[in-house]
Amino acid sequence: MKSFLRSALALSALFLLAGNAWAQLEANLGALEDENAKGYLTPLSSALASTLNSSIFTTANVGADVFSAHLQVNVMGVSFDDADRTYNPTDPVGFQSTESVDAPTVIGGTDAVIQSGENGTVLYHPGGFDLQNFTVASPQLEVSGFLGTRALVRWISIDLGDADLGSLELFGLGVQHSISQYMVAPPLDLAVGVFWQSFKIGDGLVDADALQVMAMGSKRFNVVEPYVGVGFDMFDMQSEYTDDTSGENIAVDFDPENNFHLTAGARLNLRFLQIHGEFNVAAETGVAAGLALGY
Amino acid sequence: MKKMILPLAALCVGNLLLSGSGCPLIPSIEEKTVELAVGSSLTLEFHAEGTENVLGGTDSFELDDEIDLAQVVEDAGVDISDVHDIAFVGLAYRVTNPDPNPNRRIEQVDISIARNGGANLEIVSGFEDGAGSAYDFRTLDLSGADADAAVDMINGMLDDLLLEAQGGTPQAPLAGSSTWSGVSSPTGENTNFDWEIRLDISIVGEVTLDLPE
Repeated sequence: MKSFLRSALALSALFLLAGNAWAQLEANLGALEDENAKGYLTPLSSALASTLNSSIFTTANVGADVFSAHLQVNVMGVSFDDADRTYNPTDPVGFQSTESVDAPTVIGGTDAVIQSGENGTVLYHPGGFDLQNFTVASPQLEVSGFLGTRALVRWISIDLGDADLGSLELFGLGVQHSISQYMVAPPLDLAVGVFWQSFKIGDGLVDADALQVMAMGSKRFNVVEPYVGVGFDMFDMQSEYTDDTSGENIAVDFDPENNFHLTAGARLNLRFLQIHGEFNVAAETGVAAGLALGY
Repeated sequence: MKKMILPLAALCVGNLLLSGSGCPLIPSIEEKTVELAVGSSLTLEFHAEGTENVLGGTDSFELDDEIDLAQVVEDAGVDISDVHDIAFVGLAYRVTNPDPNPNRRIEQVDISIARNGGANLEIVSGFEDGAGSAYDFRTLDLSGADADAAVDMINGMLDDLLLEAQGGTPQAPLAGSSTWSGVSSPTGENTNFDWEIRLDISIVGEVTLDLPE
């Protein structure tokens, strides 16, 4: 029980503590030209693509005309592969390397890596934050009861406590519509949904858009409701920072993360409380859980 | 409470089996020391003008006036006492104000560098490029006869810059100069353009952050 509470406190503190980490991330990027910044941040892009697109739809049971509303708190996490921990940097303007190195990505080892260049010159590549996992928490409001349709909203805005960095903002909107309401005695509930999200950190440090389309099936057995979903995720991310060397603003466009998304989970439907947990196979493999209050 | 914890525990065990990592849904925060790299630069500006086709110039600098090292690393969140090393990365150049003749070229350019009135060490030799249009920085090949010694000298100046910023006394003054000479073509008409050389440096220091385990 104590360890559970400690973990809950750590989780709730994650966004608050993230302020200095995000500020340091911006400082780390300053030493990198755009291609290397892309290599450094790519695991973050994949992690955001997976976590933001998790725990959105957790049931296909959408009431046709019975009003219901739930306020849900989601925790979505992914674990990184070893291959995500390093990248091969390219030479920035002004530097000619004489060896190739494996430089840490944002989730890689904390030690900087030195790269030798011509005539005894050297270039340092910044260390990473040594992360095994990446976790995002978000509140979500769900309202249903109109023609078998459920509306979903995610929103959170946190001042990161750094005047230069600004805030972290997540905003999402979506709908889910019951398909099984059009069937005679369907063997399980079926629904399709679409959800769009915008995630921003600071003044352009991270600016991401996510879109998910998902078909879901679920069936209630008393209070337990297993569910499976098949969907498609689209994720775009840009990052802006100031290059330390040139003093110029650099804008990096990451390769879009477009991939199929498989989810399998179960939900406990208690009177005013729902708890769900799920596995996700998407840009990264991960898990998610949530707790909802409502009726 | 058991109903809440058991599904979470099941997910975590599943994730452990799948990825071999701890549970991402139960993060804990720990203090980590991260090595940060910071870049900085010193830009030297040159003006090429005249009807003579042999051109050149010298730009002098005080390194500690040009680069406020303590401020550079402070802006990146690093205390100057936590800086481990500072090193010379290389040279870049660009034309900022192009010659009126779009076909203008600067050729056979040699660049040398000296510390505190000492010997000029040739760091670049035989460089050539267009000067009839403005362009962004390009890498300058360290092809001079004294390139290795020049790099050592610049690194020595940077070591002294760090020493001074950390409260020590440099081994020699941080004054320096860069001299260039070259040939402008086509000949027989006025040359008038501005160009810059940028000396890039890389700094490594450490910061302590509260991060997920």
